[in-house]
Amino acid sequence: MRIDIPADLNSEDETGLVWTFLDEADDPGLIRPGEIVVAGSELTAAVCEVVDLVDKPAGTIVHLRILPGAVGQYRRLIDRIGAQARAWSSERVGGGITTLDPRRTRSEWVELAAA
Amino acid sequence: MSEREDLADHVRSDERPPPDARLVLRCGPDTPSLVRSHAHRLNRLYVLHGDEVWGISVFVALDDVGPTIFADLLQTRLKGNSAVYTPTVRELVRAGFELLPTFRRPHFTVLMHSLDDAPRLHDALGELRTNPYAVD
Repeated sequence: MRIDIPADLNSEDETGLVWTFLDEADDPGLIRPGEIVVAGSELTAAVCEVVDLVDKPAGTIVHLRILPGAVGQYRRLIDRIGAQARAWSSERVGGGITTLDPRRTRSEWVELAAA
Repeated sequence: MSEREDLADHVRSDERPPPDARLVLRCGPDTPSLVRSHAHRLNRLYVLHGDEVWGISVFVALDDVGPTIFADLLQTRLKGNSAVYTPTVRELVRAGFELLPTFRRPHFTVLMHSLDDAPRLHDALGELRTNPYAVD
């Protein structure tokens, strides 16, 4: 599993939030307040919201709020909405977007996305 | 060293050391290498009474009722973790580690003498156990 930023998910500070160092992130530019990231380790990961960045003499601290649910649940969610998004994209015609038929079933959307 | 904060400023001074029977909770799995890297991260940010400090974070089931009981912690803070370590305070102390009540309840820092303690602390965490309340 790819981790956006390593962290000890038990490690909380006075804010009650998980903290880690920004410079440990693979892509520090991704770590911005409000961004949703995967934090932890390859063995223990969680989906987190970046709450804030705090500059300290030792480095920039990232505060993370662990979001409810397991990473696997988010993966399945992305799979579901990803299929639908691809289906929408495939219905674009001549630079415009066709009217979507809301009566399509989920499996129809998946078939459309795979076409 | 002066650039680092002192962890002593974040110790809950009114918190008595937890009784032996209390359980420690930490999400897993960990490896000695991960314990080492987590302990190093603490050392980057903090000193303890001006001296070097290394350690990792745990939650301790402090009460018989309320939000810090064992089952409640498993169902809330550790709900996203299918595997957890659950050593007792006694087991960690017997292995030579001190638990410092830091920041907000029920957070504690398990202190290490140096990064070389990482494999021993990893062993002291014991077996990885299934969190029956975890979501997949």
